Amino acid sequence: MLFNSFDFGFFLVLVYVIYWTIGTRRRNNQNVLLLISSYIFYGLWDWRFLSLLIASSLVDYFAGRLLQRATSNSIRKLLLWSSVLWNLGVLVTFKYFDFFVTSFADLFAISLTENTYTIWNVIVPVGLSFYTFQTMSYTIDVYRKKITPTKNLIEFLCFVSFFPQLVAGPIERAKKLLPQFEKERSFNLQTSKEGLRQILWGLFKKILVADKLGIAVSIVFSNPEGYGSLMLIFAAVLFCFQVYCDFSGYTDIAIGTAKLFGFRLSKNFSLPYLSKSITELWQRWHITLTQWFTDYVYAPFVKSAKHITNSIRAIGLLVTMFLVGLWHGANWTFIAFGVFNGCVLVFERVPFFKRKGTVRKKLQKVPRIFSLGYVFIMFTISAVFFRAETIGQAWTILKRIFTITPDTAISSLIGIKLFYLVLMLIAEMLTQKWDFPLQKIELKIPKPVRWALYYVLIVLIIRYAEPKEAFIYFQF
Amino acid sequence: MQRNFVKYLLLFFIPVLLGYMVVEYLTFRIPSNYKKNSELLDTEAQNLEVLILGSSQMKDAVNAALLKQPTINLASGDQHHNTDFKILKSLLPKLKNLKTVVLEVSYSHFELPHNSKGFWKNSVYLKYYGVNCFERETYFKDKLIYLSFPPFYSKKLYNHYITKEDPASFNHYGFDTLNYSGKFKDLKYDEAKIVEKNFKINTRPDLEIFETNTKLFFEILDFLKDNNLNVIICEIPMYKSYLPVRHNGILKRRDSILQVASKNYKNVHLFDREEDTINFSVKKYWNESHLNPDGAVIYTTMFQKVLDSLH
Repeated sequence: MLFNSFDFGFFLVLVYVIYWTIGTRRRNNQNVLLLISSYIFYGLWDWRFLSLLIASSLVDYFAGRLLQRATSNSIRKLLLWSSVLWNLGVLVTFKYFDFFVTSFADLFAISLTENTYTIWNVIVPVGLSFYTFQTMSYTIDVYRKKITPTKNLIEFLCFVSFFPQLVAGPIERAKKLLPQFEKERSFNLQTSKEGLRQILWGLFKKILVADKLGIAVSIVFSNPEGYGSLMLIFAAVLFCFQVYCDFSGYTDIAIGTAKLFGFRLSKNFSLPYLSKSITELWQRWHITLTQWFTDYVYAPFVKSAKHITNSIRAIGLLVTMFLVGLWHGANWTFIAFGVFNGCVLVFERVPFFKRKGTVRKKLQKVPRIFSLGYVFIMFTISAVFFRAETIGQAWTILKRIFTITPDTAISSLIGIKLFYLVLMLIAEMLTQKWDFPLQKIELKIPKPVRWALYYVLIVLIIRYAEPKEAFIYFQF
Repeated sequence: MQRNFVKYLLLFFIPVLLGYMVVEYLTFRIPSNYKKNSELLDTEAQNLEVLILGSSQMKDAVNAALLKQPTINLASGDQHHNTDFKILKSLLPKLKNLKTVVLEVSYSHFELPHNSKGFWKNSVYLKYYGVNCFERETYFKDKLIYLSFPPFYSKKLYNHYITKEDPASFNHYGFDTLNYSGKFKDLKYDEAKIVEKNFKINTRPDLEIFETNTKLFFEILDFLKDNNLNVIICEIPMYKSYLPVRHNGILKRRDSILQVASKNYKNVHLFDREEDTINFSVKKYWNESHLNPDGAVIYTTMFQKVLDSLH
């Protein structure tokens, strides 16, 4: 069930009505309803993988409970590693096994017959990377004694499977989301209205901007040899905006939906393309993922070294970004995307982590136009790897861009598609201090104009809704 | 407070719902081959002897009004074999007098993915033919035509009610006899200009899809054999600039499958006009891969001879 489908609209209305009808003081009943709804929501994708979601939740729930009781360090470590290995095992089996086997075979020129590993050649369960990371962080935080494990199984299952953020985040920490299931939730008119407005804004970004740009991008990327430098640059830039609007649009819908049920989810985007360096961009782009990798990969990696040197930090960054790339998908293109960004992050720390004079510091001081240009160029290059189907295709595109291949004709791909993008950018720039452009519209615009604006947006969203355009980040 | 919010929502969404109902009604009123086919199924299902399935190439190639045998052409744009099969299985009990089923196998049919479960035309099949292609229980939303593909129907609404362009005239059998306005007409049938233009053709081989598609294709043939139905497999004429661009591997695999089908199934008959560049001149085409109504007259006449040999 996609957020941009009418099926989800009906589902949401139904769950919402029952949820608040149950009563604001019946928290347990509301939690049970949310759990059932979340499992229905997930099961409608593929009910077979529901058991995997439940199994992963149970493993981490019991790991948390046992960790609390265990006193011996070795047992605590054993419990932690059991949970981590389970989660990574699930990820590797369902998401990476095929990739590892084929890459290994390619490396050593081994020919694989079709039946060699058919049993493993399975489809990736939707949202696997998101909920696995969420459950893993819970167990690690319990191990680190940053949180107390919950005794209430229903609340824990809700925390893992909460449908607004189940399939594509934000990746929530137990410390923030779990307590929200543990307390009474009361209906708040303003929060509900804000939630609806955020959903509307998310749909606008997804349907009117991301999907429209996606059409142009797909045309160019499906036949890069047919286009010259200008069109390829244009397509790569459009893709940067497509992926931003797609994912941040999804996030807005997720956060808005959660608000309708009285929950606050983490902010996942903060105008990343206005960053002055790639380092800053990663602090403003998919924020919950960056924080996850910082807390659970980069920081432990660096701290595990006997002497923390600049080289250790650089290696830590590269390893982390390699894993960030791999997290995005079992393909060398995603790894290249991660490693490229990792190299840029290291470059920005030249001369290695001294407070003064690093590239990143210098970028803060140059006129904004230059730092913005630098960030956008770097991210666009990495986006070519992200979007390309193979490394070979990415090289072809970059080669054609940098060798200034002439365009035989500027395609009609440029046109109305840009209108909504410009509109969206202006709206987001003008409302930078708000979480999303429609957040405080009530304070600024009178009701008739506001409603007219909502109607226009709804009509446009319905008018341009293509059948079944999935969100890019669902595959991760 | 909750009550106020419900009132607020109702007040806000009632105009949206009313507006949508008007749009849906206007969409339903636009003439279409689906509506004609639906009427044909309602009134003449018992008499129909020939059922034609396939994609837009097939839809544009056969004008059932010119055939002696009572025929229904349910071919439709982007309709693949898996959808054909669902339609066939669902309608077969209604078609008591059915003798022949016509399938289309274009050059890359076996290497193009089947329609997904969420294929937008599933709503159309449900609404007009009562066929459930969703592979799940349906509910009222599944029959809403405008919602099935808003951008497509928005253009239709605009063309039909506002600009009144794109005239269509569907005969009793759902064939559009005015379907000339297309690429070739726009280029005034100038062969030199046509050759210069790009066109859409699948040249990417995909053995995984080939395996899936051929498996289903033979399932369909088995089903038709079990139901004692004649099968005509059609390859529709393609314009001469289309033919050399075809991928050799895709072409060979398609042809070998068709040879196997005709050899192993006695009820299967091949009708191949794909490379007929003599009978089908440039003025018989809508674009490189679709005939216009004039081309359909020639093709249907040829097709009649095949039918005559079977009925």
